[in-house]
Amino acid sequence: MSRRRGVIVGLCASALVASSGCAGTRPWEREEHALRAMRRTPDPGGAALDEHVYDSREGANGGFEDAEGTGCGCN
Amino acid sequence: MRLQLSARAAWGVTALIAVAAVGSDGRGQEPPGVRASARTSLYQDSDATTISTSLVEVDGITEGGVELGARYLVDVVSSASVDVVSQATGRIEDVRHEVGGYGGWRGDDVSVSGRYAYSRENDWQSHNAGLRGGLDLFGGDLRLGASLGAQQSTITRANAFGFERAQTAWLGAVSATVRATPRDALHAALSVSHVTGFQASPYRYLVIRGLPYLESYPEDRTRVALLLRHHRALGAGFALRSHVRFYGDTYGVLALTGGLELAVDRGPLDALVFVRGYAQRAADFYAPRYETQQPFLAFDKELSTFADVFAGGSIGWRFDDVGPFASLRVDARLAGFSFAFFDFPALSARYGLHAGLGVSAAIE
Repeated sequence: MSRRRGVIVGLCASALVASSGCAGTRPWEREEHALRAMRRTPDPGGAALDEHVYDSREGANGGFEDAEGTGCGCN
Repeated sequence: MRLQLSARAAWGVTALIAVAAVGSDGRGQEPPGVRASARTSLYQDSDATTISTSLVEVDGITEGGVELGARYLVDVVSSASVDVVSQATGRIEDVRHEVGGYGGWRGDDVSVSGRYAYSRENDWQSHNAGLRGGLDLFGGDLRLGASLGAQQSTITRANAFGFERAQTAWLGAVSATVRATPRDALHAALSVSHVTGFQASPYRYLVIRGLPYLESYPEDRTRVALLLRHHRALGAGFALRSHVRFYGDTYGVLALTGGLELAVDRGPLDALVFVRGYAQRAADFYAPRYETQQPFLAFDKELSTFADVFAGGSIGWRFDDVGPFASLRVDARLAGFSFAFFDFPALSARYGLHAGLGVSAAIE
């Protein structure tokens, strides 16, 4: 990993840790988080098929969830 | 499947990531009961390729938190793309079948699960399995996850005997999701995978000085991806969602993915519009043309330098208390896309549509 990428990863990790340590929500403040629109994947089934398209047509993959399957199914 | 074997390997790794998906909030918020869903999608592009995918899933969770699920997926591919033309085989038709199941347990703060899937098509079969665990801390404001997965694949040539290659993939992933404020959620996921074995196409040949050479890729590929997400609740059921992904691998491919989504959840209606961009640098050994034989040879646009954009949306509607179902949801999706290939001589651009329909029902 280059120094530049290492710095980016470090900054992102630090931001995540910092945000978890000094912030948060009380139970009565979580109404917005319960919305479907705030879920990581509002529509897992549809997102899985979208990821299927991306991953069979792009050189990169990884990081995203809720795509399922094996083999290829690509063109 | 006669096309894009490297993409096939990529999909295999995606499957591992799916196995390794950690802390998913999609099902965790569902009440005890059984759900069934069916979904179909159609992909059509300007490179003479049509893909139909159909998916059926059944899953359930008990009062005690025990989860079980099963799924069946079928892909039907018809293509006369430049990859097919290069093989001088004309239009190809392929069908892939996949079956899978999972089981797990969700406690108040801890979840564990295991998953297995088997996929088969005319020249490719794979076994895929994985384990994952999740842990909620600080009342659920911080959710941590970790996972491991493996896939074993066997590659052959359709209508040919004597060609058989193996491929093994391993993946580890960690993730963290934070409810940072009453309106903000942050998510980070780091995944590392290693694929070893045959990763080129058993069909594609390159002609160098009049002689044909079979594609050849390095047998080891390590891939690293870091995904960062931010979701911001805007009020009135709206949320602005953004993500960025950094990717690199030992083939030399570097990629950046970014996306922006506006989602709404208002009573029975949910909808989403999105735009997503992707750009990558070619693999180190990729060349538009080879003047002499090299240790590694590729005729694969997924290893070239290119960029793409997808844009579209989805809309869903939930009906409550329909016959025997506690709820019934129908949805539709449509996206358009465009690819620009900068150093792939056989194809400079590709565009098309990806559309889908889905229905899911819940019995509580």
